[in-house]
Amino acid sequence: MGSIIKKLSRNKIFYCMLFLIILMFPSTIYMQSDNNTRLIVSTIGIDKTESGEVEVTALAIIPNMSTDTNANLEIFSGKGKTISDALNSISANTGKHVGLAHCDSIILSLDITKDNIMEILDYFIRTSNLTTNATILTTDKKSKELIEATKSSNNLLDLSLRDIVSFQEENSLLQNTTIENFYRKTFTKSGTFFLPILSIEEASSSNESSSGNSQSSSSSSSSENQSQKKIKNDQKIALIQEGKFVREISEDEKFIYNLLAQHSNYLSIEIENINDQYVTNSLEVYQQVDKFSLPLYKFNSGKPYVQYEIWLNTMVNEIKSSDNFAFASIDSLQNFLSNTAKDEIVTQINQKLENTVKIMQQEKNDILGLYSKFNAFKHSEWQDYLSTLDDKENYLENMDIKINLHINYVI
Amino acid sequence: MEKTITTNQLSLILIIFTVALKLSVLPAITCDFAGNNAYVVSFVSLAIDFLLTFVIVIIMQKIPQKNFFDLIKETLSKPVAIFLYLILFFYFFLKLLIALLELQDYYIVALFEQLNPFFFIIALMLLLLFLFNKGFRTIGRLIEVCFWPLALGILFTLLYPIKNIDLVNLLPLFEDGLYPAYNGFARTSFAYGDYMVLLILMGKVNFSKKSTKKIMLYFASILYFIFSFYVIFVGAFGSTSVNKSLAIGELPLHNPNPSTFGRLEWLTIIMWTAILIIQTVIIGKCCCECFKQIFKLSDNKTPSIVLVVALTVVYASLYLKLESIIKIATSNVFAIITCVLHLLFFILLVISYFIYMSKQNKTKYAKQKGGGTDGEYNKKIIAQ
Repeated sequence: MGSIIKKLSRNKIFYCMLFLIILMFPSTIYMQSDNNTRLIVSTIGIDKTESGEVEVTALAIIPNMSTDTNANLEIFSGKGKTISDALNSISANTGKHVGLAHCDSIILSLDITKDNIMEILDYFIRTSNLTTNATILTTDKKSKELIEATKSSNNLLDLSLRDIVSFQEENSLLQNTTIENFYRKTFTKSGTFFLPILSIEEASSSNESSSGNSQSSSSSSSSENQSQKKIKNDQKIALIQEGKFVREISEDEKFIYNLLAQHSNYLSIEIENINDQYVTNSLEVYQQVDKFSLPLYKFNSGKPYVQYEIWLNTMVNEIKSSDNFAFASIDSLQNFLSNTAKDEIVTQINQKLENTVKIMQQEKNDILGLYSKFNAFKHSEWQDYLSTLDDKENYLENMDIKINLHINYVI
Repeated sequence: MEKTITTNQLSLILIIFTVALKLSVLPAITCDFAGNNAYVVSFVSLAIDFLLTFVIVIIMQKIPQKNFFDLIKETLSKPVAIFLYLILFFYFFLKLLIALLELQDYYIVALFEQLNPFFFIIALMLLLLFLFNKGFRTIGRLIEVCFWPLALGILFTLLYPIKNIDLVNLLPLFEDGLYPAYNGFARTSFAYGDYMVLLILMGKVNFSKKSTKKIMLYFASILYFIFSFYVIFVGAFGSTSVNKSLAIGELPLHNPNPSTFGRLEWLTIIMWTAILIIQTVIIGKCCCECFKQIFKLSDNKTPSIVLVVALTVVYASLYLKLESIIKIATSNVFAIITCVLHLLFFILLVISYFIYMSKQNKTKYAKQKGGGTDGEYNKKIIAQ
């Protein structure tokens, strides 16, 4: 021991470390832990009040000694002219600074998306408080109600909300609805972005008994009301153009968007009244197994069109018919994709495509991002085309989309 | 006499020096000037650096015993050598300042919510004082030990956002003409010119037969990495690239994926913190070497102390003023000065080398012809 102390006393680095420790010790000894000074928020909801103020609702995690998940969650609200004001109001009322380091979701009510979302998200894109790439979503109710429904769900923290949004992202949106991605898409030439719209439904009385909230003494006073609400996903998608809510996307648009995207994995095609060698008067549901989509950007007499070559491998998921209940109809080695079925699929796709193009042209919503793609891959021809237009915003009016579908069946 | 460094150590020092200043603020600045052609700007700058580095490495291998100061002193004159080293000192000092400000910015943005400047500066300066006192061989050994874990950590920055690259963000090339790309190239020139570190390391390297090949292979790898970084950065962020003031921190942190799979970017953050400190040390050592040569000092103590004191004073007054320094370093006038300096030193080195070699050849020829020592030959020349 003595030799170690002798060795250290001859070491300059030891004296430097000692000096640093002595210097920093007085100021650090009285520092409080972050748990005492920070409110850990996992979800933020933003609404607009009647007076035009912003109301921020925060779902915070307050660790308690309880195995009931809901007992660890509390909801706090604050109002203000700006997001900063509203968060300061929450901080003042809770005695803790709002910490957004674990905030994964930001819910905007549909009303607020009708104004420019960028004004609302400006705080979140600039602040160093938010260190995650939070998901944004919208609701047709108040975001406060959706947060209450999130709290009352039996899943861990807000996992159910994230699960639902992730599901939407994988199945229909085909892109992340994060703040980062929102700004990226908004500042492209096409300027469109999709947000999932979630709703709330009243839970049935049998569900209420499954939550132990009313028996837990540490739950909030409104838990009895909250336990009656459940998150509902009707798979609606809001179209945001230049930061504002424009409309909901139609089913045809969703289908075409999914079909034409390279990265979609869950396309489902339903055809009705099929009569062929396998089935009679049946509804068939085909599920995508694999897909390759190749867009070719071309011009015809100075007018742009996109030709999509799509190779689609499918398998039948379900056949609904009262006439076909025979063993042969559930034969997994049977190729049900007859010429009739193929023709019906192609007809349906063309119909949906026509509707989609019509809506895109009428509403001037470039949901496929065609401006950016033509500008990137056919720049000079695209610029020539734009110069022929009186109003460059009407670039979709002469746009055509063709689909060449190569569909195969997978046993 | 300072101990020599191996080729491997030289290669790694060059890699860390090359990465310095390129992956933090520079990507956003380049995008600000050149738009989506930022990766083209980086490609051209890196290609020029590669070619000039190749020439310098060949020269270094031809005259391994000569350092830059002695070469200039012998071929031009001592006052010229001192003057050039003075310029080099200020050049590296400014780079050091920017590196330190980026380090401090990185700590504040990525690591600490509140950072006491007093403690930060004292702790950092004590560390730098210790490291500046060591030789390049020690620094080289340190990098040899740490290199592969650091490299693997940084490689993660390329892996996260790869699948989110959108070709649309990278095209079309030169949409607004050549001027934005040219402007970006000129205005960001201060961050390039990495062969300048070789001028300091001349005469300190123990070359072998395959040294040039090894050095250039390592150098090409890091240039490829930097170019890929810029491609991924622009491809992933598109129009919002200008908002990403700390690219290396924000590429994994704010990539398009939500944070549901955990915070893997912390690996990159930790590794980048270590790299920032090492690159600061290398640049600082270059300053110390310049100081030593100007004042003909043999030890590292005096230049280290002087440098750390000067740095503390300047750094403390420029605390949190990275933006102001960047504005100066990317101004039009500074861009011209930097480009001229980079070319000037390269040209001077090449000219000095040829002058030196011709003198050597004359000496050899005279020896072969007349037989005798160099002294006798010189007497003959004077007599003539």
